[in-house]
Amino acid sequence: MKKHILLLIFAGVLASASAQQGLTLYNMDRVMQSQFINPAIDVPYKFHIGGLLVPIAGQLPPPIYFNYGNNSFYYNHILHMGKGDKADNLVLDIPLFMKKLKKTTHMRFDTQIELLNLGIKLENMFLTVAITEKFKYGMSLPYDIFEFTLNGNMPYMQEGKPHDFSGFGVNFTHYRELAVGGSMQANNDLTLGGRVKILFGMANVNTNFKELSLYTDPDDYSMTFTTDMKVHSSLPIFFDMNMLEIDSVGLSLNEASLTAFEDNPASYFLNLKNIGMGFDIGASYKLTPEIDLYASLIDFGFISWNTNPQNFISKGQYDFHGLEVELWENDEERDASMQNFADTLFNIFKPDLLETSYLTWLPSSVYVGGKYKFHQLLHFTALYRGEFYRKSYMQSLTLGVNSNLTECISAHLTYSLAHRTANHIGFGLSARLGPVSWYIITDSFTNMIWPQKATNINLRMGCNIVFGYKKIKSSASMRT
Amino acid sequence: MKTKLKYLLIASILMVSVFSCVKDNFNFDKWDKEVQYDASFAAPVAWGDLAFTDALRMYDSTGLFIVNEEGYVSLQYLTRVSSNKVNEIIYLNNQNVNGTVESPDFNFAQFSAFNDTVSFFYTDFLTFSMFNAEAEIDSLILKTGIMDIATNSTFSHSARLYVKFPSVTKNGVPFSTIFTYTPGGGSSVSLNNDFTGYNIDLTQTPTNFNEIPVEIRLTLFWSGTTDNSGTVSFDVNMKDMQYKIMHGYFGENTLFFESDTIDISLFKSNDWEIERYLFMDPKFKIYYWNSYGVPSQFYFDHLVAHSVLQGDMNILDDANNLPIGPANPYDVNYALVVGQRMLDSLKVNKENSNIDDVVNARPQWIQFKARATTNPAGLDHHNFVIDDSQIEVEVIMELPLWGYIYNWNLKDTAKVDLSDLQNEYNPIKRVLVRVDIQNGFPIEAFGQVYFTDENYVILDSLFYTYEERLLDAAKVDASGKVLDFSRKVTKIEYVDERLKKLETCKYVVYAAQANTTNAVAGTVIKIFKDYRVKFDVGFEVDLEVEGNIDSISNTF
Repeated sequence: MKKHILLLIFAGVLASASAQQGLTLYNMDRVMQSQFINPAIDVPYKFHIGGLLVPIAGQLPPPIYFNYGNNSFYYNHILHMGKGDKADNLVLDIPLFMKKLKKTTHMRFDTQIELLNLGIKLENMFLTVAITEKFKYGMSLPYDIFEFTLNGNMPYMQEGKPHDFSGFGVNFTHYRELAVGGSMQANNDLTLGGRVKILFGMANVNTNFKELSLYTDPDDYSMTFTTDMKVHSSLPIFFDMNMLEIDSVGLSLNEASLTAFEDNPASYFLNLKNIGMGFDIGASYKLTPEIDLYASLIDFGFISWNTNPQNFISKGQYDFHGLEVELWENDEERDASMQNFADTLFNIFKPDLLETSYLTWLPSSVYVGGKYKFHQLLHFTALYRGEFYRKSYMQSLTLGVNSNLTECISAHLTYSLAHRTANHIGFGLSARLGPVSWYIITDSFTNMIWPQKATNINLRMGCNIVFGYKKIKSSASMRT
Repeated sequence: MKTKLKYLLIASILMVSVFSCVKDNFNFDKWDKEVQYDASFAAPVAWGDLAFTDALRMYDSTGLFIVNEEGYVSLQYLTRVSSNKVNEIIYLNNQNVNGTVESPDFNFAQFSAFNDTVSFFYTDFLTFSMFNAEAEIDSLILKTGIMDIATNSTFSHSARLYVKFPSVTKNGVPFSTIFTYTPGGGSSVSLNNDFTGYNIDLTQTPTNFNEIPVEIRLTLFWSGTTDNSGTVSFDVNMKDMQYKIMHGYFGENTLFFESDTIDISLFKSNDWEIERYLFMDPKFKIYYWNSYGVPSQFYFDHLVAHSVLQGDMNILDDANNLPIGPANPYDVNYALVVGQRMLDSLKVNKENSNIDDVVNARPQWIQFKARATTNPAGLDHHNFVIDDSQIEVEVIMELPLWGYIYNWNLKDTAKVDLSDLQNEYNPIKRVLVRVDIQNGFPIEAFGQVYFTDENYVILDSLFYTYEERLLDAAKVDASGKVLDFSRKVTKIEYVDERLKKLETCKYVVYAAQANTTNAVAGTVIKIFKDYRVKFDVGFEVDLEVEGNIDSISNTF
């Protein structure tokens, strides 16, 4: 009974987990990419190399990682097969969809392409260098947008509540990461690792809505619109904004930047002006011969965007009482009055354009976990992950079973609690043939089989060339 | 082997089921396309803060409303009439003078050889015939005019005729002309002499008015004959004369004024009725502009109001001070200096007439006929007139908005087509319109709307009360001035069930009724120009749509 209660508590606490990343990979120590999640992880090779730039091995398969995450709903929450006489039909279920929405729905995509990674073991240190191309993009939608659209503004009006749209966001970041890391055995039990990353930003669009709200007064239905928002962009082709008058509002591509990009598209990829820094730190500790503990902090860093920075800032408040009726002498006067109203709205909410550099922070993650070596060929793991993302904190709990089946093959099965769902079964497989080591990992293969129930889909695969691999020996006192 | 096949079969069936399930979920052809949308919105529609002065400025281009001397508003109806054109009354006829110089007028004693000359000089008078037998004109300046002179000589000698008009001058130079004749006689003419700008002094003869002297000098030159007989005749025509200014005495002339009817739209409209009302201080104002330099008297021949209730009603002179009738004419101001335009006025009110009786009988129009007579005092040579002199009369009926109106009511019918609300997918299930009015006028208003079928059978009414109070009258003080705004919030709600009642609606009958504050008790109010009304309109609407999306799209 107690166990059930504990499980329920965990499920409740972790109901808001999101964008899974490396939950299965974390304990795949035969895959050097696990050091991306914890720099202190000891990989059993003396040397490895991988990445897209490595001939043949780097393309078969290409070392990519893709992740989609949604912290609120999945496809069947909107459209699902009906019941009864509708059993053979898809039905639209808006009430269910609304029930599943969270305060802010984050839909995120993460795509990474390893260009190159190198690792070399030196005595009690392991040094790594990795260059990775990363694309992080997504959209955040506040609950109140759906509430307003689907239920209208009257329910909130009657409660005296404003509609809060400040959770709205659009983000896109493309950057290149050059990470230099190392791990070192501090003593017999403790290994510490870290990676220093230099980040080269390529392109960014980032929104920051401090306030975006609509309040409807229950007495006279007047509406108060409030905005305090910024939209930042740093793109190779930027915009010319004309916001002098409402009649001439326009955003158009800057011709000079467009021409420059068309003439030399490679310059986009060689841009070194948007510099950032980040670091990963990790530790692993042998509590007992059977039990290892891990902890790591990943992607703590920022990028300073200096190329074509554009900051659109809008801040204002307007009380709308309806159209002002005046005694117009003719149609021209009426039209002028309407124009005046539109101009007023425009001038209040018109964004100012600043062209100053700005900073964005990477979404950082923290991992805490442990491994119990039940048997030489069977290890049980538990991993807690928390991620800071746009004023939200998302969590997940993963239980895993890992087995180094043979010297060449290891298989990993995980079960994760996330997004109020308990249907994330992950799978990882690594296989080595000579110096070539392949891996394929997903944190939720069940979602790939049943995408209609997927709040998270991810896949990582690639190939490393490894040398100096050692026979895996179980540590003392492991059961056989 | 069999076991393995069994497991393989089970696995295959499972896989097919799984993939079939996935495929079905993403097969949009299976979507039943049934949608349900249920939302409620509230929003403000319009607001305003309207002052009476704004309405006056916008809609009252004809000056129907004015701010009177006491500072509150009057309703006025006016008409303006001009007199006959001045040159229809005071004008210049064509003038003519002729004469003859004959041989007996000469002394031929020393007239017998070449270089001998003999002359005869005399002065003739050209008498002007005038527009009025009594007129005695002193001078005039011509705007246009033509003079033709035709002469003829029968003398055997050569001759020269000198004609001069000493009192017809331009820039101080009198007009003159010379005619010459060869021996044996002949004709000589001087035609189309332009007299534009000439000053004619008609006081230079013994008569002292209406005449100008004409100086004639005929000189004969001995031409080798002893025949001294003959005549020289002349004929002078002054024609097409128009004056710029004329001075003198113009005699007694009569100018006539006849107005169109002044419609009193307040009582004339067929759109509304008023059960009872009172105007505390109705009045007439008559304005008289006179640019004639001639003393005049003015009086009405006819000042009548027409009422539905009482027919034609004469507006009478209660105190015998009004110029109603020739027995009591009014001496109006006149110009004393050229270019002046004098204004004079009369006021007809309840103190000096029966106008309040007339107004309270709901007059629909008023008409007047009047006349002005010049020089009522007789001979006076100080009259003057210019070419655009005119007398204009403006009659204004003023109804100061001081009083009360009880049961102003209006009813009208309009054809409607509410079929759009009846379609299967009408999304509106409930609509509520909220009207919040803060009224700064001392007027309350009620309204009702009836929805009827083609036979005018009532299907529903907008309000459940007989007539819904839409506007609360502002409270007034003892002098009738508003003390503060009154506020009334009216909510008009329509739900789907009520809309269904209007399926066969073809007509909308709307009725409105208004009273001034406490009019039932006879409380009088005043309307000041700074009164205003503030309003705020918002709505709530419940939307509900349920059905097949294709059908819904086709409907809309």
